[in-house]
Amino acid sequence: METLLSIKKCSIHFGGLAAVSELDLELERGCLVGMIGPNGAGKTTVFNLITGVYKPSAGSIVFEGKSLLGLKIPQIARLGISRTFQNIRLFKSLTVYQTVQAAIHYQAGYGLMGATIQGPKFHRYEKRIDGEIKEALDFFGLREIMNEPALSLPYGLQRRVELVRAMVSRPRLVLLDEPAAGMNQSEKNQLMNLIRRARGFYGCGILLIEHDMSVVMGICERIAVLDYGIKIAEGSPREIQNNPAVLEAYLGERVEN
Amino acid sequence: MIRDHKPKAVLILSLPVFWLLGKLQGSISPYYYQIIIYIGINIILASSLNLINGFAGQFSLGHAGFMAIGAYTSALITSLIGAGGGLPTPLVFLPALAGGGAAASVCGLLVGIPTLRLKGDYLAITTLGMGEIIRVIIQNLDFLGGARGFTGIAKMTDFFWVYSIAALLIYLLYNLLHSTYGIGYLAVRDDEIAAESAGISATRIKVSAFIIGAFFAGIAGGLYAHFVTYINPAQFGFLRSFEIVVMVVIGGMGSITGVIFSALILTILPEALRAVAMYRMVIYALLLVVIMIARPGGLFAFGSGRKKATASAAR
Repeated sequence: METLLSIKKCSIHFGGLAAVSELDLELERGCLVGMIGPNGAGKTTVFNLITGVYKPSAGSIVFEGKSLLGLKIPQIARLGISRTFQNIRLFKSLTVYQTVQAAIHYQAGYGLMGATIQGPKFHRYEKRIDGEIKEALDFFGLREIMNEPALSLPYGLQRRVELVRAMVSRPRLVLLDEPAAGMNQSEKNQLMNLIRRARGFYGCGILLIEHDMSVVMGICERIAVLDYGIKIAEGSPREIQNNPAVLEAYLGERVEN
Repeated sequence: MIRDHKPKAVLILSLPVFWLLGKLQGSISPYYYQIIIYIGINIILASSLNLINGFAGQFSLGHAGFMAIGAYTSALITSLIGAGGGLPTPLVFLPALAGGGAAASVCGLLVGIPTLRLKGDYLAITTLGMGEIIRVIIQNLDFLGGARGFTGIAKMTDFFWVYSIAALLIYLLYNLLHSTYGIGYLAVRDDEIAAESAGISATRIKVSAFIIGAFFAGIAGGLYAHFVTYINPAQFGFLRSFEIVVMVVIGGMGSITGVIFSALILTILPEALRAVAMYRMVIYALLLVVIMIARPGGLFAFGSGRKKATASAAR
């Protein structure tokens, strides 16, 4: 398998606290990997390291053979890494369509001059962009409500809008931060289905953080477990379920009678 | 998306109409004519600030500074070229306005860069300071007349110049707002982190908003200078910036038509209130308070408000 993202010996400290230390993580093209761990284990910090929100104090992050260190957030996004947020971050004045459009903004190949003058090149690009947005909205079942303000939608649909926003630019790696948070079981099932299908459709690798074990165990091919910023285990869902270090992190130490 | 030719048609049709209307300028009283010109200049000022404050969400309080730079630069250019004499007005005025706009946008770039690190109140105070710095520098430049002002500027601004430039600016803003590129401005305004994570460079958005906004403020300054024929630094003080901000806020941040209407009404209002002379500014201020309480989203935020922008974007 071809390597997509490779994190090596990556650490970050906030004051005296090592939020992530010496993390190694390899993701292959088209993978579906889960990242679990108790609260405060550093999972979201890993996302912030990959997407350039934080600069690692040590270590390397390489995406498709290119180091991400020192790149700014939008530069990393343009390389093909997108994300969703733990607390939904939608644009408060934009509709569903416009929210998705914002994610494809950087692929509008006509620039500011083109946008204001609107020549033939502009219309060519806009037509293609419009097609891609509508295709994505169709795929995620949001076409009917594309003119609604994104924030007026119920919670589950807001999450889905974030998902489309992350996918529409055809990234090679999508980071999903607790996509199933606050959902009931049937919504979770629907979401798992959608994530699986979206991966097939867009051909992207997915790294997801999730607390809900039914989701993680249900769709992930591989799972990495973090605790206190250290990767304590990695393997298939079955291996993780029986890993003593994982059980200890979640349930506490076994008391021998 | 269906190609929308309507805005372009409106722009092209409006130019001869403005030209014809401009022919009538001798037949109305100079007082009314002056108000009509001020309305047009204020539309340009408020719309260009709307790009910075309303679209890109960067609360700027230094717009009069950009206007001052445009006014002085263009006045300088026409006084230098005009000294040679003989050239027809457009050949002198057009480069003068463009030069004034360019000088202002260079300054916009200089203001735009520090704003990358500043938000909200801090940004407002910084831009306020920048505007004052510009004013004080001009006040101390002797070749610009210092505090005495710049006198003897040729009267070149007329109805056609003002309104065709206003129409052009509105056309450009409308196009921008209805493009995938322009959505980036709104996204950065709404949530910078989410926008950047989606590949939008907030830096580029903010700086470009300042550059374009300042460019048109500079042109408005040039138009103003060549209408009143005498400018001094006091005309471009904080109050001027404040007036423009009020127009944007009352019109509805980010609403193109709203800001045009509010520039219109807020230019007429103080004149209409001359009848009650001493209470004029009191009533004006009270009206602002009432409007802000009753319509916090902007008094005229209908028409090109979000709903419609959306509808046409989705077509």
